[in-house]
Amino acid sequence: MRPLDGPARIDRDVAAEIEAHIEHMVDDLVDQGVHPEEARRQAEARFGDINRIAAECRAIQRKTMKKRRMGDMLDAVRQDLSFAVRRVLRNPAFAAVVVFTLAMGVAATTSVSSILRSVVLEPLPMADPDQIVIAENLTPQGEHFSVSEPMFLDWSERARVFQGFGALATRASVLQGTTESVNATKVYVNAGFFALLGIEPELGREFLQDEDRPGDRRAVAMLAHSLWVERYASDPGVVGTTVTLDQSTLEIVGVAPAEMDELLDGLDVFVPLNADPDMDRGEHYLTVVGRMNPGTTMTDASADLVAVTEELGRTYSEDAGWSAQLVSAEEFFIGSSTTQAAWVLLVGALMVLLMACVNISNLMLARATTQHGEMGIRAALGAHRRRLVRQVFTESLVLAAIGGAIGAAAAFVILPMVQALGAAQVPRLDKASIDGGILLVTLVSVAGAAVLFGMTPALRLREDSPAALLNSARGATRRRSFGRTLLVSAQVGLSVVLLVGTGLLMRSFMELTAVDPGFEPRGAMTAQLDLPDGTYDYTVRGPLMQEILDEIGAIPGVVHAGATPISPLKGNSLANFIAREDRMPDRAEEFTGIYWRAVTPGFFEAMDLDVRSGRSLTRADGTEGPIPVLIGESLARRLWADGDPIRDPIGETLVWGDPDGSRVTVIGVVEDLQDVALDIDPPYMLYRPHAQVPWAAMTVIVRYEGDAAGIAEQVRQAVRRVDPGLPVPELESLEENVRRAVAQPRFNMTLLGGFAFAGLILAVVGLYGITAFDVSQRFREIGIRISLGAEPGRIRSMILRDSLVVVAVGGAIGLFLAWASSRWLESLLFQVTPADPATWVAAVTTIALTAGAAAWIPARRATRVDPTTVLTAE
Amino acid sequence: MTRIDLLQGTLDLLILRTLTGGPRHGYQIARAIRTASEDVLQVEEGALYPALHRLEDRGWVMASWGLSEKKRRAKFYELTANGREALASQSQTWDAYVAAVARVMDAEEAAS
Repeated sequence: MRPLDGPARIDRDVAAEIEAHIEHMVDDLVDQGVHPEEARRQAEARFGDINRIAAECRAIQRKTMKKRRMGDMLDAVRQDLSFAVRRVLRNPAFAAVVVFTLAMGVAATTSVSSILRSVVLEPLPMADPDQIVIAENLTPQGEHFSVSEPMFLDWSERARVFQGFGALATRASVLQGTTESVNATKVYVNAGFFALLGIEPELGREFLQDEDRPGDRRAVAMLAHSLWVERYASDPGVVGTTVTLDQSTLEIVGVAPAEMDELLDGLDVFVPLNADPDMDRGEHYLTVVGRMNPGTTMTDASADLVAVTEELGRTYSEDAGWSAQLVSAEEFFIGSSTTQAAWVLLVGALMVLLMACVNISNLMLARATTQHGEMGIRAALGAHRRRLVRQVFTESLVLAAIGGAIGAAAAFVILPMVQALGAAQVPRLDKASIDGGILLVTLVSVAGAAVLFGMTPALRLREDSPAALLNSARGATRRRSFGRTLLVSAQVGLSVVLLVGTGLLMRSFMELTAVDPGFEPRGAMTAQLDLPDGTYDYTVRGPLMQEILDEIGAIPGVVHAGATPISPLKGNSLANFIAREDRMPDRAEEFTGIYWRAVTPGFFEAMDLDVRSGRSLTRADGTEGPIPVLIGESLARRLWADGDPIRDPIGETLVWGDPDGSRVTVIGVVEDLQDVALDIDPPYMLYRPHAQVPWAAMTVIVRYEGDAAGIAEQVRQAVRRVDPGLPVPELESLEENVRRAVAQPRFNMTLLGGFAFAGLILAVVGLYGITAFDVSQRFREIGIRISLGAEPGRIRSMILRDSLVVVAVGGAIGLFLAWASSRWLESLLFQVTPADPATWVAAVTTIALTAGAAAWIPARRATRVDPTTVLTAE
Repeated sequence: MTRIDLLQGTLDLLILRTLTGGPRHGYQIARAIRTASEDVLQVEEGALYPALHRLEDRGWVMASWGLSEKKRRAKFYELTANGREALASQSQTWDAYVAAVARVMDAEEAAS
């Protein structure tokens, strides 16, 4: 019979104890001559209320039992812990490898999860961000385009499944201070813009409907949160005071919330939009935000907006052929490639963690094999199998706790480094932090890791009988364990996946940086120079800009100076449409979409763009007479596809915008320029003289020879000499623009590369470990072989052959996994297909070489085994 | 012959004292106390067993099953090391108490 346990045993014991007492009393009474039946009755009567006493006893017993169990458990845990700590301390090298390996995985996982959370998972800082979309126009040619003021107002009025629309547009402007002026970004927003996003002003209020009427500009402004903090030291009394922007004095009615800065960087002062329904419908410059009705899908909302826009196209000739398109808020504010990259990096980090677990599991398994003797003895002496398994797990937990703690600590150091690496281009990266939530993720992954790497050795313990455990320890030769072979193969496989991923990103990055942007980034500086509307009238901007450029051009060391409205590769652009006058299409849709720039003389020279035919711009151009333009080579090839695209365009006339648009004359063809983005085909470019379209916000390009810092200072002085009221510009190397444009791909590549490197080290350690262990286990066998006359070469190849199998199996698994997952990277790649042969060959070569080296060292040691020592050892 | 009910707490002391002679089962303990006190002290079964189990819970006594002198299966209690210490300190307290009570009683007799 199985011994009873728990409450049942207590009930039985108490009853038996009481019964024994009564029977003893009965015995005594019978001895005194009482009749047995009468004795029983008397005894029970004298005992009192049996049920009550029994219940009281049972309650006490139960309490005692609970206390004992708890005590036993605590004792066992304490014993297991001290046993584990003793084992860890007994083999510090082993412990160090395990801890370091795990710390690497934990640090990677912790930092990447905090990045993923802040960049991707954290909801956008607005109410119900799922309802928010960005509404764009599509040109008749099908390109994304900004929205005109009348279009925005019509959408707000006619769209059915939207709660409302908001619009914003930015303009470079100058903020006048008491002592000096600074460049500032002015943002036009409609009344109710913040309410639409569901964010409250930090102070004061946003613009009222009354302040946002067409043709009725009110002198009111809101400060951006960052400007308020930096320039006004977060002064709570700022509402009601005034600010001078582009020479006009505006009353500050509110301060925008910090959330706005988080959504859109670099805004300074908000002013009312005053959208006008009678404004030119061809003037597209607004960014429009829409809030869909609750429960409306983007597909439905898009269909609604397209219908409204097409309806407008039937009413207004300017809108004919135009359509609309929605972009999700995540896509607009974060970007799908950033999201994608963050997930790829998390997978990379998890793979490193997994490899770390595999490595540790392997180490523990190897050690379990050598210590089977010890475990066998303990099992034979009566230690419960369960207890042994628990001890193995306790040891895993102790190691995991130390490794996890070090890894988490390392993450605090790594995260700021990663943030510095990608701060420029990855939105919200600076918000990443390691807090309780992230540490919880870390804790879970550490616990998971401990279970993972404790499991394999524990499972083996479960299976083997004490006799088997004892025997295996005595065995002279042992077969390589299948489990461990599989683990190392898996490691090699994961390593291949990481290598292929990194290789693809690296190749893509190389392609990207190899793109010829047309301009020469070296030896040039840029300076933002704005001549805002309010201060500098349309008529004075052209001559003033020329005067400044002349002053800069006179500085010794300056070779060329010119200006453009677009700072190269900052992601901005200006678009319009043109057609050849002699081949004028009937419909607006057939006009060619172009990017255009209002540039000054000296621009092509400062950018180092070759003029292929015709001539460059001169000071005389654009001031009077026909409008001269230069076109980019790709545009020339498109418009003169059937002729000589270099010579034929010179002197020809182009039509600007629509069939009734102004006429411009081509005076030159210029080398292609990529100043919008590197990862697109060379855009169709057209250049007009700044003197004729005196754009306000300009970037001056200065090509120089000699001391950059000295020349930069002289440029600043030159600007001050021409007009002391202008903000003094900061100068930056043109190379900085290129560096920023490739910052995110560089960030992705560097991080995944780091993981691949860590992974490779882990795989090498794993392979070295298993081979070295095998050799040490086979010393006797090898000794016998050598004493029987085996050549060292044969011994070596015998060992290497085993490792080769591991690498081949793992490599095959890895190539399959990499092949299956590489298309996932496709959207992050530029001009490289996931099947890029160079990458695959490089990955396979790298793993083969490092794996070969990892196996070679122990294999060589095997040939040096001294038979006499080994054979007499036991 | 008057019979005196035991004071609260005194029962524990008596049980521990009784067990100094070696392991005893409940009935033996009750009988031993009665005999030693020459039938003056009566131990209620309703109090004895809960008291024994409480002592066990406190770790002052240890219980195990065995055969009694009448060849019956009974639960035997024996003192633990902790139990011995507790007995020693409680005996001292008891002696001091008895002496103090006695002094008071003597003093009153003298005064009257």
